[in-house]
Amino acid sequence: MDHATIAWISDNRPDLPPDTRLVLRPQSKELLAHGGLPTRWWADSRLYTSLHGVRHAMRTAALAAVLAEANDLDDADAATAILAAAVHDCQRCHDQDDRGHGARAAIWLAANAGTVWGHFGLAATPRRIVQAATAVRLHDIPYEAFTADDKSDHARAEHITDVVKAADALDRYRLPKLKWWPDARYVREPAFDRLRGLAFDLVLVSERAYLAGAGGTAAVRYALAEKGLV
Amino acid sequence: MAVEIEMRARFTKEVHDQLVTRLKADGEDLGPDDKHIYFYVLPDQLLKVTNNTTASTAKITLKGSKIGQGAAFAETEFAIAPADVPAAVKVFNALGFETAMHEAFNFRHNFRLDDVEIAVKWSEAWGYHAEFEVLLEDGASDAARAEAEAKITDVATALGVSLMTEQELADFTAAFEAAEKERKERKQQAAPIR
Repeated sequence: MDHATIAWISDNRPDLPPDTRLVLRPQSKELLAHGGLPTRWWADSRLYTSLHGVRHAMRTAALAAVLAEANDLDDADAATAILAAAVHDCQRCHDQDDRGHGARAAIWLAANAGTVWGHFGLAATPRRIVQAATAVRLHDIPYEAFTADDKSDHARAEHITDVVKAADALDRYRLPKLKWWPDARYVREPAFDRLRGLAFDLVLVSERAYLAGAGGTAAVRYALAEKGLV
Repeated sequence: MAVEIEMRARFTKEVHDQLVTRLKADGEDLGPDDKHIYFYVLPDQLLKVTNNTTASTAKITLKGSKIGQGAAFAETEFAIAPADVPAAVKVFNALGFETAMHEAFNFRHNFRLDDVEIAVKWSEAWGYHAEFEVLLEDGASDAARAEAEAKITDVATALGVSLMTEQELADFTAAFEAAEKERKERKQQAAPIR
């Protein structure tokens, strides 16, 4: 992202509701502190700093943590949602309409479960792996396009999947067209609209920090600190 | 070799915001001064390669003591071109210092109040923090050093900020170094990605 794009995003700030003061549980803060994701997790290392790279991954993980609070998810489900959000785009081949990248990331996550859960200081259990992989697989499939198998999978990890899809959608303020910005019609999340202000600010603060010279991880952690999330 | 009297404080976002508001009202605003720093924690010294990203300058600094070993830092530094920062890091790493190297980006805003320079900062390791500094001439007397420390303490107190003790600084930096060591070891032991 360049200075002109950030200025354009800032200039087009919608009339957003004021930030709701949200406090993350200690476990979520700890997981976000582990969110400096290794470059080698990305299928194409050139995408690590791109539109679907580490900054998007960390913001999506943070928004999943906030949505987990808004939806009263228990600790296990909150952790699974944060982890799935962090890796949901890591197997993209490019930044355009990369069909099937969710399915590829789900397979990658299952194959590397020990490494990924270990990175976050968590134990990978079969149930958590299935739930996270399901959320990752379904994140790029619109609800209305779900097949019978998708619906069946979704039912087994409904809250986690809905949180990951909504968190991913909230980070769309980074995209350079208004028609691509977050739209509640495409998600199933009651708290979606009241988190728009936070999502917008996370994009603006972290992208400005990145352009100022901070690395992707430091840029997002700074934005999280500025918004009182860590 | 100039002598810096440096004292530090860590605080919450709320205290940070109150401090900046106060400094903007009562102090002199010297502007933003973000830095990307490569620092080498040596047994009794601190070596730094600093890219002053806001100022578009760079420098190499050798400090005569580590954080947590007293407030007085004898300091030698010289300017380099920002474009030479990667080469400088490469040289120090090749000289065997790579395992002692840490890297950090500092979001920083400088102020001056009552002849004390105050850098209000955020970094991943320290979170929100501030560095209070008075620069003394070569061979400054013990009395001058004590006076500078007292001045910094007075300014910090007036601003409602609690300075860290030398023991707190030593404990904090030791914990950071241990966590970094563990992180690097974990990275080396990480299983290959399939």
